[in-house]
Amino acid sequence: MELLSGLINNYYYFVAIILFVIGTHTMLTHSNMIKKVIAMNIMDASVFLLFVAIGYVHGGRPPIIAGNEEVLYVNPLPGALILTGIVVAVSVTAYALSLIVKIHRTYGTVDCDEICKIRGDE
Amino acid sequence: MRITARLVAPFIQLYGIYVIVNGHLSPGGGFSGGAIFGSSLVLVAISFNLEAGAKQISHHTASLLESGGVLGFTLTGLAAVFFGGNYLANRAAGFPLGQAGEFFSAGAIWIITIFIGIKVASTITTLFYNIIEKEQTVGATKRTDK
Amino acid sequence: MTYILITFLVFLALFLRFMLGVEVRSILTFYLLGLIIYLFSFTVAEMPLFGSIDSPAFNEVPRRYLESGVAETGALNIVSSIITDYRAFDTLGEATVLFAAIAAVIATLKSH
Repeated sequence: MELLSGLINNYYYFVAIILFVIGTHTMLTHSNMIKKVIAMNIMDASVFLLFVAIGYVHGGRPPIIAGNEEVLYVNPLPGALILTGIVVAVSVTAYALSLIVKIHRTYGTVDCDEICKIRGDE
Repeated sequence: MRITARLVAPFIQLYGIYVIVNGHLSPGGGFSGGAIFGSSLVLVAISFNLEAGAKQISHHTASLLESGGVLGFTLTGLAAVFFGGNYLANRAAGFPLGQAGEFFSAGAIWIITIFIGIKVASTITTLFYNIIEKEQTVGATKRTDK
Repeated sequence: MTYILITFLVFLALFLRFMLGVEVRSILTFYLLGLIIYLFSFTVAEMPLFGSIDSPAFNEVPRRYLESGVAETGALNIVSSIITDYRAFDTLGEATVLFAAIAAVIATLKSH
């Protein structure tokens, strides 16, 4: 079928989608907060993979110019844009982890269901 | 483990400085070099206790370096305005370009890369110190160690 | 074809619920994620071929950066010259984001 042949040619994008769905399922199902932060990192990694894989050219070299020959270079623009995205993902992860430390100091646990029970009893 | 960390930490710092300074000639640049440099300080703080890590770069120095990184970036852009170009311009503002492939080429790229490297290294160090430290209650009898 | 698939899925859900005791919520979660994978696969199959030279992402902007990057900036590393010379404003915004994140972490965790 056309669907299968298109998928087998663009298998990098398909793997990115599978990673995104794995991250979403973990974030929805598990109730431990640190697992949710890890799942957010997995979803970020899948988006970065999708973006950087767009810029590949068959038979290209890394975009560092050495000498004066006419060689084919890989597209440098998606990689340069993703550097900013990686730093933003690290910042959001750091802030989320500091909030988890604060919650643990207040309630004594990092489990979402137990925190709901503690707050429901008050 | 302690002996290995003490021996290896200067080499990691040297490699981090090499990746930062050769940002315009080989793969790397400011962000990855800063992360490598920050990782060496985290390694010393993990293998020994936190006081030895705080003796290498104290809190005050780390916050000063981080603010200095962002200020340096902004002042480089303003220097380009003073020299007659747009904000954060490189060749239109008169920075010396030099020969491609030399060490001191590419006027503003080199300066910006070093400021970004300093900033990212102090960011990682400050994050690690703040998340790991136990809380200190002010004026109470129970005072846990840092 | 789709009717057979829907009947099979409903019978599979009933079998899992009443014979094996799986919760309805987790069955619905798996079905929703399977639907998302199926819909996205159509999008992936229609994207430009992986690694072709005439993809729309390789238009005149990266060609200009690759051809006259060394002459205009003097750096051999094209990615460095993009993020610190051609698009230095985005790097300034990103340094600001890092700084704001550090300020937020310190403000949250210093319990003086």
